[in-house]
Amino acid sequence: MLKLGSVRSAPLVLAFAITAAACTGAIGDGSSPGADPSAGGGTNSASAPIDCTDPDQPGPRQLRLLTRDEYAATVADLLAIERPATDDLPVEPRVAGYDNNAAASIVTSRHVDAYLAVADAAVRTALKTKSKWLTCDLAGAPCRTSFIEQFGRRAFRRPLRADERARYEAMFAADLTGGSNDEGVASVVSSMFISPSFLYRSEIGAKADDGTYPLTPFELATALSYTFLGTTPDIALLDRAAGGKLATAADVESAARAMLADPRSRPQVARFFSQWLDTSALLSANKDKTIYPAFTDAVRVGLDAELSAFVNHVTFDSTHAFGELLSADYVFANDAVAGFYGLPTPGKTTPTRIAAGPNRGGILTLGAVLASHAHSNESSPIKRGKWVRDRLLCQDLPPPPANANTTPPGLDPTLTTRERFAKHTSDPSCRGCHQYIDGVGFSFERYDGIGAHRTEEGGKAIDASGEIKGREGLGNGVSETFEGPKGLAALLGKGEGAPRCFATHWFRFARGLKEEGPEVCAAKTLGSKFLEMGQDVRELMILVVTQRSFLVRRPS
Amino acid sequence: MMTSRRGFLATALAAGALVQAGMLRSPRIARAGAPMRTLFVYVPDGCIPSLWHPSGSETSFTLPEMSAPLSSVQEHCVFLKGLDMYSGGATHEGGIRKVLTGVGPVSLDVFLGQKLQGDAAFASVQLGVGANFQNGSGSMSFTGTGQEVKPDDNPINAFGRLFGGATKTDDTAALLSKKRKKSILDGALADLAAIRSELAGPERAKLDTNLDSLREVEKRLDGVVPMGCSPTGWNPSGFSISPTDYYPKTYEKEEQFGMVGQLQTDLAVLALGCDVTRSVGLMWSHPVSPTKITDSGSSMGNHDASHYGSAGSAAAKDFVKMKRWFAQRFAALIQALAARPYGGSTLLDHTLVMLCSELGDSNAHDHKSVPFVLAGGKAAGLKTGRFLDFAGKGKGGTNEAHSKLLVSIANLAGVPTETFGYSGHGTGGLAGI
Repeated sequence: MLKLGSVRSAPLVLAFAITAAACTGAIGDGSSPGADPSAGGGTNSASAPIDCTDPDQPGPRQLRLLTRDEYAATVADLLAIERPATDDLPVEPRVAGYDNNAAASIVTSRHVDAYLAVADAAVRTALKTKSKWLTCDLAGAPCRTSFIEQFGRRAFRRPLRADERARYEAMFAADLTGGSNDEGVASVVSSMFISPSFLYRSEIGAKADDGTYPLTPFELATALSYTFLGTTPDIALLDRAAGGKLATAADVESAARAMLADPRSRPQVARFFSQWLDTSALLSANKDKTIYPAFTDAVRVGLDAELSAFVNHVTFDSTHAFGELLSADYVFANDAVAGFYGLPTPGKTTPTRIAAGPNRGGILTLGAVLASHAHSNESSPIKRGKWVRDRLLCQDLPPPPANANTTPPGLDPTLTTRERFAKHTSDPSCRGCHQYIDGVGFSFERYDGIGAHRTEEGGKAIDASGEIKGREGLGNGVSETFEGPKGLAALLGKGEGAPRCFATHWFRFARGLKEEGPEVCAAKTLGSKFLEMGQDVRELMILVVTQRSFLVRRPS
Repeated sequence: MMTSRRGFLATALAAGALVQAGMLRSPRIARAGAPMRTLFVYVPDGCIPSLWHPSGSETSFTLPEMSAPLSSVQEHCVFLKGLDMYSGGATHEGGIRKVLTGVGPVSLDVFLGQKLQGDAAFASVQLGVGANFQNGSGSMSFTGTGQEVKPDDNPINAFGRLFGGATKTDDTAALLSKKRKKSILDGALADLAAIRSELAGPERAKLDTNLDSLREVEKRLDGVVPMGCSPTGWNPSGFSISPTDYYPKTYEKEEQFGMVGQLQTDLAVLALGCDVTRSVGLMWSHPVSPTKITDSGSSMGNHDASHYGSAGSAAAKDFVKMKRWFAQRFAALIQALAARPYGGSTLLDHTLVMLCSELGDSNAHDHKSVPFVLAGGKAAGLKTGRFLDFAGKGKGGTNEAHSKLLVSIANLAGVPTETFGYSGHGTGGLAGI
């Protein structure tokens, strides 16, 4: 009989990230946790120690499926149309919070159906204004050939091979088009748009004499453009690749710098921050309208715009310093957001820099962050505490063990949320992990389920004092106290854990992988360099594409 | 921009190729010895064991409050107690990863879909009811190499995909369209082969999945819906999606949860009944479900209520309401399958239905005695109207492993196997099923 375990030999991709790393050796015994404190906010530490003698080894060969965002931007660029709607494309599986994980992304038949539908509608829209992208008469064979070559080069982000060109030329045959060359164009574009050469960003490289696979210039152009601009490389960049001007690390660095000077990099950088801070549900989150009438669509949109404006300002316009992300003394508010924050309104519908006042400033007090990490009807010290550990410190906490009683406190209106949840830290069966969560999460209690500021709950004053254990390494025995998220931000700004973790998150986003094996070393190395360079966010973004791990790939 | 349904696909499939294919083939519907179908229904966040699992003997038992609505279809069900999900991850995320995989790479809906597909147009179909909305914990279906297969939460889109081509046009256009579409797919297949030859390992496997997907779409050019089957009557109330709904999309709105659930349920029955596919996964919401089912009378979201504290608490009362609501929906699904004639008996007789969740006791976040129900499957020899308690019947007096239930379902569906994922409690299916 068949053994299903052997149906396919490829490894399980989404391996369970957390294995033995319980917060304490035995739940509630108070001993030091199994998690590796030396990770220091760098990387997942559950598996066997990794030899980082070579701190920057060649990375894995990868095919990276375009995300829905990348797909829409690419189609729009290639056909000179508005971005097509991609709501009916399957949602990306998120790994470590990122939608662009190469290992998790596959093309199911539902993808193919949706790609075909979007492509056909898009090309028919584009054909209405084809003079924008087609300069000759398709009745002539040379025109068809040059269309295929030029469009194909952009779609595949490399020149077409002769056999490919012939295949697409055949799609203009009258028995396929019914005599309409526009139908031929539609076929060629649709076929290219479901080709793996279009759908996947190729990072497989070309074999070198030493057995490694350096990325080709065209692959480098592709990786840079999607990383920094979120879309396909433009013709000038492809020409640079073709002309041998995108070959060295120095070439890559200067191309990256040029892209970060391109305004298109701003929404892309904001996309990274949104995924890092895990605010992607902000716009759609269900919030109880009777409890939170203030959470209007205008506020949601304003908070989303604030996040983008703020991170762009720090990354591009201000100091570029990681510390400013944590402790800025200003916010970017429009009137809706300023009203929501209780600040003087700037008289603007666009995000405008105003003084933050005592209750705002920095990523920890962004409404986008606070509303995203809360329940529909109340705050959530647990979610916020876990968010700090996972997103800001890269400290993996395991889920509650199977034998733990995870009964939460009842909904007692005579107690504050903090008082109800405080039970977690006192209950020995929960203490193992919640000692790392609750003391952090409680400090956010002056912000309710939509991130609005409050000073009392049910008539009781709110205690926003916080305690963080093991900030620089779970189980290091260090405990610090502070007041509110601003106090926490000051602590995070002092250590290495938070900036190292930030570098790891950028590594994951830029590389489309959750580091394992040699990539753990490359991510750590990136974090070290980030510290050496004074925690300059923009320089970090460039550094990742100059690493050998990025430029060169190992045999699979 | 994509308001009109499926530009290209509709054109290609609309082209009457379906009708033509139907004429070329003998209708599948009435074929004797028809293959089994499988349907996997997920409901979120476990249960209160004492209020879900029956008490009594194998053939004489009573259903407590949570599962009581299933009494109307009790004769079609096998209630399963004492099945634990061993190994793998913990809590919600671990549970959803293994409930249909038994911690192997592939989920049973995807695996059996491939094995049973035969002439069916779709290997397997994954439908969701708000299953992607605010889902931070994952879904239940996985490919053979372990990647998650996301369900489609949009019933209009799902219907369009499964049945959208069934409009007749003139045959010349149909043939042209089919030929043209084939050339489009062939172009992609040739490109794929060239890249594939350069790769090994996981990246090659990824392209193999892609290849299967392209081939499935290509095969569908020969027709999707067998003759004699019509999807007319689906969506009788004319549910539609507002192009201006964004916070959230119409089909993800809490107030549409029941409506979307009804449409996806109807679509599952239709897809299985029309032999469009032989394996369907239907996810109601997702682990850690924030959904508050207002129709049920609950004032809390499902996950909040699932932390019920003690069986008599206010949260428990809300959780019971929502569990009963889901049980009613499941009972209606069973009745719909039973009402549909198929192969001389009913579609239910030819369908193995599994009801599952990602937790056992929601309060404990455990994977013990998960609330599983198996239903239908008479044509495969499944004896229903029973309650089977596997508590203490596993290795060394432990509870039996749920992966054996997965093995049993595969075997009943005519796919021989001795293990499916976890095999620490031995091989083979559940004894006595």
